[in-house]
Amino acid sequence: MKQRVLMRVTAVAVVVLILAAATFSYQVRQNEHVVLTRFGKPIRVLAEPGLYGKWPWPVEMVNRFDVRLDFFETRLAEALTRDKRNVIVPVFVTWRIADPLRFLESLGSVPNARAKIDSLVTSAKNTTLGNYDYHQLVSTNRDDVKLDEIEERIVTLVAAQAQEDFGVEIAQVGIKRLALPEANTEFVLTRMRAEREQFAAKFRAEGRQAADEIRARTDAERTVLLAEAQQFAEETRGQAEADAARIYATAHSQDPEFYRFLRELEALRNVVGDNTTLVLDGKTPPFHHLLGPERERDER
Amino acid sequence: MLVLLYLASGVHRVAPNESALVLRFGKLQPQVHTPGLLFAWPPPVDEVIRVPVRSALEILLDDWGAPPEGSPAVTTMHPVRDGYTLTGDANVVHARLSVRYQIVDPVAAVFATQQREALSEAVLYQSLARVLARTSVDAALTTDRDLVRQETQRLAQQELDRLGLGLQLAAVEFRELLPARPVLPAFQEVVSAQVEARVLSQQAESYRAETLPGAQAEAYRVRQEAMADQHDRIARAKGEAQSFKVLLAESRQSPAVTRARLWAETWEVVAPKLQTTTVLPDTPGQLWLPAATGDRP
Repeated sequence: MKQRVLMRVTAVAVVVLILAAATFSYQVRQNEHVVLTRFGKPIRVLAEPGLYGKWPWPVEMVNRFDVRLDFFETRLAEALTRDKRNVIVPVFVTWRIADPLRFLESLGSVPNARAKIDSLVTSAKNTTLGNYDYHQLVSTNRDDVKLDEIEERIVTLVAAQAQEDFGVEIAQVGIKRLALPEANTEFVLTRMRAEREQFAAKFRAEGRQAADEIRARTDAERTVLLAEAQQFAEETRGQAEADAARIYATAHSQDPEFYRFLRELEALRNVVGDNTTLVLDGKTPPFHHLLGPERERDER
Repeated sequence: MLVLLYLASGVHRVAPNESALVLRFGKLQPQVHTPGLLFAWPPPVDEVIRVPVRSALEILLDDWGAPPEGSPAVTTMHPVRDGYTLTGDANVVHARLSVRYQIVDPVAAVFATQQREALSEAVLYQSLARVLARTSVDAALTTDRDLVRQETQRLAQQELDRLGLGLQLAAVEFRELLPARPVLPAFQEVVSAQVEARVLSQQAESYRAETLPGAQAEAYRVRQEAMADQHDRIARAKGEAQSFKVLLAESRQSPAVTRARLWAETWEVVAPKLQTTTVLPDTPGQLWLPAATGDRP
């Protein structure tokens, strides 16, 4: 009986202890800062993680703030560059609570903070873009593109105010993308198509020209090759003819009269064809034999 | 019994691809726990956070993807509906990325931000937009595609490091990089024009490859023939000169005989070719014709 009472007392004591621990203490987590308020009035800011004691609700209240980086994208809006071009430059913001007390007093909650920072950054963005030309947003000359500079300037523009008014540190403003108002894209697409058509025509023309050049060069080279060979052939044959003439001349000069005789005989062979009729007088050998022996004798 | 169960809830198993951090009363303990059993105090004293440090994590970035093929044709691009960005020469391009990364610093990965993936994604889009904004569309789509990828990874890594997220990008790959869907056919037309141009050049080159050796062979033949002719001509001249000398020598020894023989040889060749031979007698009026010979008594 006595033992049972003891057990009950122990059980009650444990429950009371746990409840007391839960209401009289709190933890500050590694990623948090805590603002402790007494009857709504901030009395302590705790940046060190660990276990702390407090008076239970409703005397003291624990306001926890996650001090890790928060990230959100600002609302999409058109902006105007210095050279009056409409652009859409969506930016995102990375920020953290730097001063929990001020944050609690000015904004209180993350959604609230995001809305405030959004309008702050958007107006800074519009101001900044107004100082840059379109070709500093997109350009094939990489030194012209100032996107990082624009981001830095937006941060510079909003950092001080965010810190002082909201206890917020702006860690980063990032340009996520470059876009154009829908109405302007039709022109861009038309221009892109026209550029491509131009390129296609140019490639075709260049290809044809290159091919024609190769063919023309080939034909010219072939002509030259053949002409040179022809010239060589004629020179060679001419030379041969001259050499032959010299050889003949050397030989024939030994007895020109005999040469003439031989040439005449050869000419005879060449001149007489199948239809040649020869008219001779009877004295011509060997036909003088046709006239009979008497004649021969007479002649003798 | 209950107390034992309660204490056992402080025992954790850390998987092989994980590291574990312990928060004691909310305060981070310096030791990073490796895979295996981890004995911690049960809540609310200790909180165990497990971080997949050795896993290859992947993000797919599809916001700027081209609309699927066969979607209705459009003539404008809506800034929200159509994901795209601009290149350096103000061309509209679509892109999809796949990004693999690893957690290299578990403490940073847990305590830098709560939106690790969303922030990393934004940083990657930012880097890609930055790189494309200074690259021409032709370079980005063809020659510099790999460079764009590498630059994007480098810029994004730089930004992630600056934010202290404790992440290491392992690979940034394009799953898609295309000109705006409405002008895609025009871009493809350029590619086929390039192919056509190349084919034309190749045809011309092969014409050249066929023609020149033929011409060279022809030129060689012409030269060779000329040289052969030259050889022949001189050989013939020498031969004829030689035979003239032989005849001349013969004729010097016996001029009359030689001449008569030569004459007779010629006559033997010439005479059969003659159709008729008419011999005029000494006395006028007497004509002997070969046809009449047979009639002679």
